[in-house]
Amino acid sequence: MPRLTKSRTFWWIVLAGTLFFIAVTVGLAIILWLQLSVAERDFIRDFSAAHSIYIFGATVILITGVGFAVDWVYWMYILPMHRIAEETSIIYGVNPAHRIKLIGSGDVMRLADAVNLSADRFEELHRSVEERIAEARARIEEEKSILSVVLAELPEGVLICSPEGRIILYNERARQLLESSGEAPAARHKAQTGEFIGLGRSIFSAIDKPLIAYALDEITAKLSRAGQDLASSFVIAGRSGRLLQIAVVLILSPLREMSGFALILTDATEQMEGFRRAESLLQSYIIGVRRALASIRSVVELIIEFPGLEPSKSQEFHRIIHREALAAGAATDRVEAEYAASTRPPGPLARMRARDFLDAVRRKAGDRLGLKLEMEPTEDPLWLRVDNYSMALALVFILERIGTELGHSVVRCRLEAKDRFVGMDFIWSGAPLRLETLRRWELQPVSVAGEGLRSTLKDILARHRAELWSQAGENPSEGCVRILLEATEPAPPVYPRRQTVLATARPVYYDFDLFGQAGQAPELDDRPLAELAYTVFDTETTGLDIREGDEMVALGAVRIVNGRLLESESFEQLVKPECILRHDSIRIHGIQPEMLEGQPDVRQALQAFERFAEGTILVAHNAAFDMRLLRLQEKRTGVRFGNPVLDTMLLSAVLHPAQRKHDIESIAERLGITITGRHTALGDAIATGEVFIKLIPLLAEMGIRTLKQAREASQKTYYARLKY
Amino acid sequence: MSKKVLIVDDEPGIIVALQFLMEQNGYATMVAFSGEEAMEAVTRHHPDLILLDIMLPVVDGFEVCQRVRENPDWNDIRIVLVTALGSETNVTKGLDLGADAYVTKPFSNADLVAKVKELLECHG
Repeated sequence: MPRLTKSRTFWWIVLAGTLFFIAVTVGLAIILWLQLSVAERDFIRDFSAAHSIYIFGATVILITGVGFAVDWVYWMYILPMHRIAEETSIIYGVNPAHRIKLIGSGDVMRLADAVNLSADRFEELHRSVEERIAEARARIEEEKSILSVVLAELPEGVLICSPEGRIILYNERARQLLESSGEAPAARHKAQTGEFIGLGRSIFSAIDKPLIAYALDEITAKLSRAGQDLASSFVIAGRSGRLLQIAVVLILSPLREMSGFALILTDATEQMEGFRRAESLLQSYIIGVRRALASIRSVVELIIEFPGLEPSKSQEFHRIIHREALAAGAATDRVEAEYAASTRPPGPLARMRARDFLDAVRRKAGDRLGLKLEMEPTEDPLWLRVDNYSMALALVFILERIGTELGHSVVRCRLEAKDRFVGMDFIWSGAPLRLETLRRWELQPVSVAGEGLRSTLKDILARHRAELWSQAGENPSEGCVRILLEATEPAPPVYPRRQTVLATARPVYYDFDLFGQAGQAPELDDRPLAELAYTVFDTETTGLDIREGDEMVALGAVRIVNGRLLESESFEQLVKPECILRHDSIRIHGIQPEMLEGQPDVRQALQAFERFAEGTILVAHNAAFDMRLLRLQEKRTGVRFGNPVLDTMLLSAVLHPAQRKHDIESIAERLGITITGRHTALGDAIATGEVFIKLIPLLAEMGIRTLKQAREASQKTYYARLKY
Repeated sequence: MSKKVLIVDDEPGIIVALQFLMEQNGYATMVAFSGEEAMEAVTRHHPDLILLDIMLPVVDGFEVCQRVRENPDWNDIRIVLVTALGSETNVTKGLDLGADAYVTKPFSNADLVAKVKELLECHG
């Protein structure tokens, strides 16, 4: 490693210098010795023997002095110089706010001050450049934000994939539909559920590849015929038996080459069920009526053909005709009732509370007509299926007629549930409305105070399959107009549209850079670190003695794709251990024993995590500990993690060997990362992920660009002795 | 000796009418109200022709047709499917399973008699 070599160079020089000094001294001594006369040699021998203690002492003092001098030079010059070099690259590489703080000689300190001073200038410059970039980016972000929010709020699921089937963009609805229908998006309890939808993941884990391939072939064939409709669709069964209709749309480059494909997902369960019901209803009706008609026709033809039938036979035939006519009538009634009760596609009619609907009518009548509509209290909340605008206008139109033609400015309104209908009575004090007047109103276009529709009142009522009639009120001196509208279930729609709010930062549901990415290859070793997909994870345990049986109680993970930390694609799972949760570990992670009741066991959790981490590199801080934990569970769970592993602690040691601390807080501080939510598995995983992302460019500066290089460098570091 | 016609249907009304119609045209008749009864009648009486409804409880007309055709001794039995299932797929299925003709309810008595006569004379 370059840094390590530099650090060792000093000691090599010292060693070489020492050896050279010794060699020269010994050489000179030998030459001198050879030139001495016998008497001089005897004198030196006698002198040395007599004063050996002093000579030895002087030599030891000399060597010790030189040793201290060398050590001082190392600590005060060499090591600080290395740290200055490392920290300078941190300042210019990842964290302009970082400053060099060290102990060294006056010269070194002056150098450090000079570097810090230039760092101040650099930081200022950096900030102003960053500000300008941020301004420019903000404008782009706003546009992207609009796109992503619109996408997120679509009731349809949308997924865009690269030609190899890797997900480049998706919205929350797509994830809901494919991962587990009907489950709340916030639910992270995925240990028992299936595939994960996420950026960079393969869509083929959720939708069979042959289905998509077939649809793409169909589109390609249409394309070659220069067809107009370049989509193809198929239906699959979703995770909880819901039917998903999937439209496949090809995405072409300007050169008309395939750059990917889009999948648009709709929950077609109710629609398909509606079709099925309608078809079976029609079928049973046809059969019922045909059978009855067959008997009737056959018997009638017999009566005509054989006029002189015996009376008993004739009577029998008449009874058959009567019975079958009744059967045909019953079949018709049954179909009518079932059709009326069936759920039809909502069309333009929206489901709403009758009371809310009438409140809108009341306000409109007050504002436009100055007419007072008094609502009688109702007990049950009644729900309607209405085209809010046209029906409200129709009711205001009726009120306007009551006001202008009958001269009533106060009308009472009563709501009532009647079988599968909601009855709305508009009551006034005065004579009942004449039938012909009501018929006349029905034929008029609906128009109130300049606001109008082309449709007549009758049209609007027909569209709602509503009935309108006039009757006397409960009190004979009162008139009443009753409207009967179909009631509906009070349940809200399956996927309510929420208010669209622009996000301050764009949600990380898309990453168009993946378009240019090479296909998923098993040989990850030579792929650049910046291009790989990672699962950064952390565990919390019952204690630190995992060899002695301490177990996992929480597992948190987050994904990094294309150098971006995708917090929205996280994994968080509490795990019920088989051993006791130690008190000292509770103090660290705050997970209480009662929180673990009903949580999945380690096998379920690890199976889910295996699917989450599939095809990615595992990253952890002090991965030796976490990997050891996973390996110890292998036998029991049958889940083996064969993913390549990187350790942020080792990578930090590779980068900054002169730094003494490589815990996550110290690294984060050096790299200018603010850590929040530590000591939850997910919080720690996110912190580790942020650190890892900052380490990638620094490693690249050192020439460590691929997975293989990173792994080899890690293994060489001192910390790698803690092999897992 | 008059030809034997087996009428199979679960609707008593149509059975009465068909029985009368066939008898008036000189055929001996026997009736069955289900698929099992039909198979029993075929075994016992070996009819010349079966007027067979498809929608029968438990063992349906298609199955009866198939079972009759599986036995070479019954190759001479003509089968007319008389049913309210009018879709083309049902017609095709019935004929593929070995029925000789397919009549959709409601039918004309005269047409049915003509078809029965034609089948019995052709093969008779």
